[in-house]
Amino acid sequence: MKRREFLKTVLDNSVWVILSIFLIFNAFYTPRFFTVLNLRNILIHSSILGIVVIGESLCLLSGHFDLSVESTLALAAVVGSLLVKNGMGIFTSILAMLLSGGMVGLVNGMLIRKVGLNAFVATLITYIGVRGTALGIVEGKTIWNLPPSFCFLGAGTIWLFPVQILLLIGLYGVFHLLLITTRFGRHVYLVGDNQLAARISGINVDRVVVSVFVLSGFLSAFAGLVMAGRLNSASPLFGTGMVFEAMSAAIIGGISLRGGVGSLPMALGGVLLLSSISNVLNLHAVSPYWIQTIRAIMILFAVVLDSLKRRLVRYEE
Amino acid sequence: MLLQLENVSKSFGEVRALENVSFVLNYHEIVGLVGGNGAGKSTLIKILAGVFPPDKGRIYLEGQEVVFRNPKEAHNHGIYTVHQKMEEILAPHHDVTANIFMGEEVTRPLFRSFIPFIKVLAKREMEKEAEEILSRVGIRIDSVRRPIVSYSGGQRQAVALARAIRKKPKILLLDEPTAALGVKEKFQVLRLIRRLGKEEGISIVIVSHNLEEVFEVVDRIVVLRNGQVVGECSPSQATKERVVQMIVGGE
Amino acid sequence: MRRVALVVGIVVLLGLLLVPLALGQEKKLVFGYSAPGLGDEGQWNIQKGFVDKCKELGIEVIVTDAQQSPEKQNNDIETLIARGVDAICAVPQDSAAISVAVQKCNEAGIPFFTIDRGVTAGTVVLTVKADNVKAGAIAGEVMLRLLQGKYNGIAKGKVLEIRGQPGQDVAEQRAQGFHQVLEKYPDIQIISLPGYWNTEEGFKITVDTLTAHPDLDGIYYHADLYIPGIVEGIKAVKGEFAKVGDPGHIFILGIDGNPAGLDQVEAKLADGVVVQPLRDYGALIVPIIVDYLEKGPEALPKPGTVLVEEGASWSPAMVVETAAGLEIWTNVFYVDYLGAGDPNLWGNKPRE
Repeated sequence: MKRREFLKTVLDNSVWVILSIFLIFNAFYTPRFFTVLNLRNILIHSSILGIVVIGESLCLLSGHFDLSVESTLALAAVVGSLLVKNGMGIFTSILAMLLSGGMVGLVNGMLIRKVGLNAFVATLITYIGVRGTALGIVEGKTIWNLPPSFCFLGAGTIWLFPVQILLLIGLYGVFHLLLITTRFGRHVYLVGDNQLAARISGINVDRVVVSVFVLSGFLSAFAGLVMAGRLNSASPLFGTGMVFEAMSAAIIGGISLRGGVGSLPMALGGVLLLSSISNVLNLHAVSPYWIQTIRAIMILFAVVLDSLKRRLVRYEE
Repeated sequence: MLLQLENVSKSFGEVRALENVSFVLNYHEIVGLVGGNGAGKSTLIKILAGVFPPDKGRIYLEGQEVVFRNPKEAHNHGIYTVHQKMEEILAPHHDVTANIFMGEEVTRPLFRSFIPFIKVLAKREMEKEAEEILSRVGIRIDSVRRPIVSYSGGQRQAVALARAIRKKPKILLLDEPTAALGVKEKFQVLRLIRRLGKEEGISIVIVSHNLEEVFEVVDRIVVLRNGQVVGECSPSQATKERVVQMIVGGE
Repeated sequence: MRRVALVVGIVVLLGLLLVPLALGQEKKLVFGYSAPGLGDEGQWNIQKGFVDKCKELGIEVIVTDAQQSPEKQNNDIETLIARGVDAICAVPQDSAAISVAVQKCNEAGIPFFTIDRGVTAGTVVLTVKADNVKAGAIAGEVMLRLLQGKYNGIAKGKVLEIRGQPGQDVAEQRAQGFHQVLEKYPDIQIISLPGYWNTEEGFKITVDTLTAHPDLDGIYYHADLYIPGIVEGIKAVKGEFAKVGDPGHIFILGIDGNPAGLDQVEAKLADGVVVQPLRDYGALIVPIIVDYLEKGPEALPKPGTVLVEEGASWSPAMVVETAAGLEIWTNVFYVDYLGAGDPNLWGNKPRE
């Protein structure tokens, strides 16, 4: 019985266990891996994906897909950069880009709850449409050389710490607390676990789902702001393919695609693991052709562990 | 008299589900509604639960006439339903406490003195109350922190009942409460229902087609056939054969 | 009887009305242009060059945009076939996937041309593209000179190569040319990593490589879109960015020549860029298509010849018969900060 408990604890924190093993292994076998500079690099690489993953996880926890995150990121980056380049104030521009993200989320939520579309279909529509809008606004152009104050969130430092790392930690903290200590957070989980039950118990499912998508939109837009600052530019092609990486990270972190199961810190573990893997591959400069395969194996591994864990807690008839 | 139905009728298109049904539920009473398929049991219980209104007839609760337009209004009058499928009412990956308090989570201000509008879940309080309810009605569950999937069918049904009890209902409507359970669990749940009726003082209406369990637990049996009340009896005075005869019809 | 006469009259009248319309349509050529994704600066310019040349010659163009989707591009081309255009020119998003549409086009008897990339199957009359191997080789030679300059004539150092999508022909050719030149010098170490044509990925590669190799001498990139990532990456690791000519400067050069790239070169952030004459592909190919429609295969340039036109950025261009069919490989040329402001470069031409 005690072994079973131990096993369960290990499996409950599987991402962190894998991540630790990975870090320790590479500390010995990858030159310059275990240096403050490189660990800082990994956190920097994680920040943008990490912020997107918060939004994606909120949606997944409530039992919905959000494919539109990467398009929203690009739209926000383009909108904000265009405004700021045309002489708009920094805060107005940032506000406008966050609002554009929120709007995309609102449209997603409305399409799902009011029009009654499946989340996959609804966000597929915005995934295509929003990227198209971003392309249209700047006619495919890349905007670059943004004002330093606009880039502060992406490239600035506070004392020794890059702002984007502080943002990553702060946002995970805030949203984790939101999820586990508030009624709203509890309702997000309950809606994802059993939507019918949640509705019968008087939870306003519409409001929960729409809020979740709006939050996801805000977060993606925020990630767009960080990315624009990070790269001192904005392109409508920003974040291409990122939605799959975001889903991979969430799944590796143990967030169930069926909803209601998982936690944000674990998803963060998934993000850090993915970033560490690509960091190590870069440091070694190994053949680039295998990186996708390695990523797939990692996901498979995590999913197998997850189903193992579930078998441990399930009641045996 | 806690609840009284007077000449209630309900039809769905051509189908007459209930015809001039009158029905009484007393304080602290457990009543079993029995009848064959399509006899009108479910329709009657759904009218009581506020799922749909009757076409005709009146409902009196503690002497006052009431109209339920939706389940929420029935809840507000203290009438709760526990459905036969737990899948429909429990969140499988959440712990017992979360399920008992689903939709009615207790919160407390995060900082009592300043910004009192930021409220967080009062987890400790909810857990304590959940344990209290469970032990009061004699449901044995080893931890309120374990998820529903780790419990058996009977235990899950017990959690569903505990959730209804927390709301301090006047009337509990149980729709085939033991349909999905094994024999041993069935009797545990029946004992639980009996205790709820006698010790907690909740009036209960059970819909069931299992006469065995109805005889075990109820004070009074009401027999429905073709949307009409065709007979009433007390289990101590009637035999099962007599009730079966009433259900299928013919003297 | 009178009714029948009326109907016949109306039909005849309508027919007469339609005749000049039909004649008018026949006189004007209609070309279809299938872009892989106009979101890309370079693609937009190729398209613009094509459309401008057509306008100049009084040809109508229907432009479709596949938005990076090979499948949509096939649909686009089928639509163009259905519209009955006289010729189709495409920049394939995916050389293999487009083959289905090319074959349908062959069946319909519409001549098919491509720019920038070839196709795997189906008949293409002519492909115009930049000599990507040559572009890579030029970059390699410049990098070699820069390294020799830094180390007093000795060819040594560490260079990071940020590639495009692994397996894609443009990326492979740009790598091939670069390696061909530098692999003769064993003391020059090349670290190659794929950036998947993604700015953020370029940033990560720069950061990680600089961490593993703080003594990095130069960075060679396969497309201008990597520049912001490279510049910010160096800043993130080194804390500051040393411009061209400043001590501690890391050589940065690559291929493309889009507006952002040229600006960076002019601002001395990057050493230089190998420019492809994207904007002028159209000026080269459109007259050839017109000739071909008029005179048939005779009108095509002969393999082995060199096309020259005074002042044209694509000139000189080689005509080559390859396994994939007839191709014209246009000139590419290196631009450093002295030449980056040239208004004739496509990247410096105004968008409208």
